[in-house]
Amino acid sequence: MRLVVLYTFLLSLLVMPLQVFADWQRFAALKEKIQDMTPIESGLELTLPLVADDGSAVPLKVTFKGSLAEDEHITRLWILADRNPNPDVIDFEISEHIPRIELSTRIRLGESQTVYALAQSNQGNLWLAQQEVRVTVSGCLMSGDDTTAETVMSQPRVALPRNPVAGEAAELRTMINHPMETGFREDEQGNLIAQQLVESLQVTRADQPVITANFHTGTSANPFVAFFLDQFDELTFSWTDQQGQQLSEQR
Amino acid sequence: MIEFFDDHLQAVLWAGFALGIAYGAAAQWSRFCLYRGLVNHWQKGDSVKLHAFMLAMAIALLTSQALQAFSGIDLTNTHYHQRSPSWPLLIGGGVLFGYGMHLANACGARSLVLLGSGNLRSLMVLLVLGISAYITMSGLLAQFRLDLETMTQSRLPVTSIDGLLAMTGLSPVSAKILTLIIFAGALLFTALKSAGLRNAFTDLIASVVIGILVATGWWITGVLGADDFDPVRLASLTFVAPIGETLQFTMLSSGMTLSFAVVVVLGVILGSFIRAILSGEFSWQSYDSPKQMQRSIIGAVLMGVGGVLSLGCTLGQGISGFSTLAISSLAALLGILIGARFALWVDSH
Repeated sequence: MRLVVLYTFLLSLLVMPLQVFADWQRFAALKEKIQDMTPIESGLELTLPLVADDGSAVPLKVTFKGSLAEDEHITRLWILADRNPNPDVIDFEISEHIPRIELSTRIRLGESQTVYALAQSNQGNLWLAQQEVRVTVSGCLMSGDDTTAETVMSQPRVALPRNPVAGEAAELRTMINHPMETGFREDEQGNLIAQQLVESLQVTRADQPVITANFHTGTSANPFVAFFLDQFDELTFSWTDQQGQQLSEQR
Repeated sequence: MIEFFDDHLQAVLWAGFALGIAYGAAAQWSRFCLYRGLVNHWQKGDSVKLHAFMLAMAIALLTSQALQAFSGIDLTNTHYHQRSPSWPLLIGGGVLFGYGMHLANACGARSLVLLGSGNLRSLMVLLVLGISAYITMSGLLAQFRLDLETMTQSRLPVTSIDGLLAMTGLSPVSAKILTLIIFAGALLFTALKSAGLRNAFTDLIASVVIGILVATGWWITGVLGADDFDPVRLASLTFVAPIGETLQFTMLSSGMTLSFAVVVVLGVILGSFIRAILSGEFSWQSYDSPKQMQRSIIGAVLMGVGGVLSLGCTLGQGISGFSTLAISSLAALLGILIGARFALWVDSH
């Protein structure tokens, strides 16, 4: 019995320093956003595969299940990856018209690493979630295929829920074709290929902002965003690329 | 049909499971196996099993190409159509696979079927094959494989056999029809000219069914699995990487999503099991000697490694890949035949 106590004590000594100094404090991009605040480390859930055999499109879902005060709602949400060349993956500006925070997208991971989600409410509270993903080399055996897609946006598409009912939250999916050139890639001659990104997707209802997704180098080609809504009329979806081009869809 | 399911992914999974069951039952019933066909042909002069495999190739080719013509699926989007394949790896991998198939006494697909009928030797083969496939694909040998691939890649102007023919100046449509007539005609003629297969009712029916199942696989992933946002990757029956993926899924399912490949593998085992029980053919079998176990383990390693290098097995490249008219499938199949022939030659000397 005494031995058990002793070992437990020794073990807790070992674990304690690790606990005190959480992983995210070593991650500058995240530290910059959190600063001196203490994020709540429960309530926000990040769903990612443990092992991804295709790092160029890893499905990500972030769900908020924490408790909020009255008049409090989530306004900002960032996804960051600590070992990508640029840690910014995607971020969202969220209005109170979003009935529930359950956002899906596809992200790029250059190697095995930890992905972080940070949510902020209008009262300044922060929630943090993290998930480690192991990325294996092209398990899909499709290496060497170099389709050079055009760097313009095409085929914007929006899928409303199958039987949308006003007042009932249901998922809505959006996607647009675009290669999302990171600016880190080289062509066959070894020259850097210029960065070309879709910058954002803005969703408005009757000119009121509903949700905005800002895409970064960590967002997969053909940016995909799914989110929940409970009103499905007078919706406008507009995508803007780095050159200022805009494409819109009305629903 | 898709209305019965929550979404297209679910439809693909259930249909894939049914596809696996159908293949497992048909292959268990007729003992469908390229290796057995080759051994019977080369050693006993009995070509029924080999002709059965050729018939399945021809039927798969015709039905898949018909499906492509009528449904708008583009079979050149499969991984068999590599723009920059590595011939040494395709053929060399095929040789390893063919040699391993001889040592293990069955290929991957056949091992799944045998496992369903109670053969524990196949369980060993499948475990080792799956692990060695993943070692080569994304594990210890992955970097080595990628380096080899980069060193030996050569760029192709076209990836399909009919594309090659069209370079002579034929229109794409007539090139395709001509290719189909040549390949399907030659296979059907060889398979059916002697009375052997014509009188082997079971083999005849099972081969036709298996050929159609390959096209069904393309239909499941290409038509049922079509989606503007989340299309399923085009695939049909193939059994090297999927066996590894199934093992991985059993271990990591909490962090993985179920895929078409995995449900097909599970379906094959179940289909073979059901058919073996119903026909009273189910019986437990295991190794007779350490020597035999050694042979089959080495065979399984060679099949796992070789199958990944050549992008598929007897079924994956030989039937599914071939049904897309990929040039790389012919190379891999050639490798497999060389490997199996060489193994038999080594054994007899």
